[in-house]
Amino acid sequence: MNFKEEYKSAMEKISPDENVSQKIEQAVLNEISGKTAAKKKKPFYVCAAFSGAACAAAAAIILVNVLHVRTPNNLSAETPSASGTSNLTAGFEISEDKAETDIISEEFEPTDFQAANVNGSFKEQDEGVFENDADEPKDSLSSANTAEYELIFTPEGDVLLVGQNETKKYSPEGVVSHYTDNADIAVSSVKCSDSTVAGVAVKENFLYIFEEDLHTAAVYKLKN
Amino acid sequence: MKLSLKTSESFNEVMKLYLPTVYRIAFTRLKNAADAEDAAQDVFLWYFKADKTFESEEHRKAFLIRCAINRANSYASSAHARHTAKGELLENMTEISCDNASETVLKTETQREVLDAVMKLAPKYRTVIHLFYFEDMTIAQIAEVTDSKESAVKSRLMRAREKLKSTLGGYEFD
Repeated sequence: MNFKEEYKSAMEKISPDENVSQKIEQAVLNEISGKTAAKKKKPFYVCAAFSGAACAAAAAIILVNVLHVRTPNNLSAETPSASGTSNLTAGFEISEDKAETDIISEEFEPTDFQAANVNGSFKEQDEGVFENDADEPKDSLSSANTAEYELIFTPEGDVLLVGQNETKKYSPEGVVSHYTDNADIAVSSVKCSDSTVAGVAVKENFLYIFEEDLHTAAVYKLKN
Repeated sequence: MKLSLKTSESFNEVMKLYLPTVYRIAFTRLKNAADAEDAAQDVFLWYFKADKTFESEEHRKAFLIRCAINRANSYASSAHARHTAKGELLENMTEISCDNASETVLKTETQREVLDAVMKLAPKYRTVIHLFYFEDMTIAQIAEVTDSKESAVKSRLMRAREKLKSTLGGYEFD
């Protein structure tokens, strides 16, 4: 038997039927024409530090995720600010009203994130602060608004990290399924309609975009 | 002559021509019809927004294939997240999806056997096998669309064949 013939015959039968074609075509045309589309695509912003009570909801959600993979004892030992995350050293800032409402909503849009201090340090909170959902982090994080990053996925699959003064382009390298160096993760929680980006890290020439488990990351390499 | 999407080409025509190609590449990576549809939709949305000019149809096809691979890879991560969020193992989900697809789509046991064997390969091997045996792409072309070195593509193809031979047995690989 010939593998190529059999494989071709098998794959020929895996094809979108007419309904699927029409559905995709209509969804694309709707999106193009600006109507309500089946899927929303918006770039999201990678900012620097949380500020005040605004970070409470985001940090709580993030660290709930983190607690799934880390014990409370480990939390105190990890200091993101001391890691090699280049100039992307923290997470997202969220306006107060969004922090309390939209972040847990399906309608939450990543563009609601605002700029924050890119180079500000991310100081660890007291151990166990986030063990109880009712607890809120203390207002000890940097809140200076100095820079804003935008993460854009290009049609070619590359990622643009757009800052105020420079734009870095990264190309896909693969997927890391067991990333263990959590100290390097600039935590954030951005819900997109088609994917979940729970954290971003830049380490040397590599950009890591994490899933909710903070262990699985799409890896991108800096393009010269 | 340079072909521009919005001037000389109909978007619908391009979609009709290349949707099956994009869909199959996404399916090969994602092993799930619904995810493949979503990925295909994203690819054509990108394609339209990019409004690129292509030297030839080969370039257009290569661009779409590259987009499909990249989008499917990205989507695989989010699919993984959704499945694990539901407390299900990705491996189990994809295994079920694959079996269902095989049972409903494929008519012959032989074809099902071949498809199952391919779907059980690692993603990087599946993609190379599909592009080489179904899309009839050369090593150089595959290297270009996967952003890999030709030596890496050759290596993946060789290892994928070895794995398939051990699984299938009795098949000839050109």
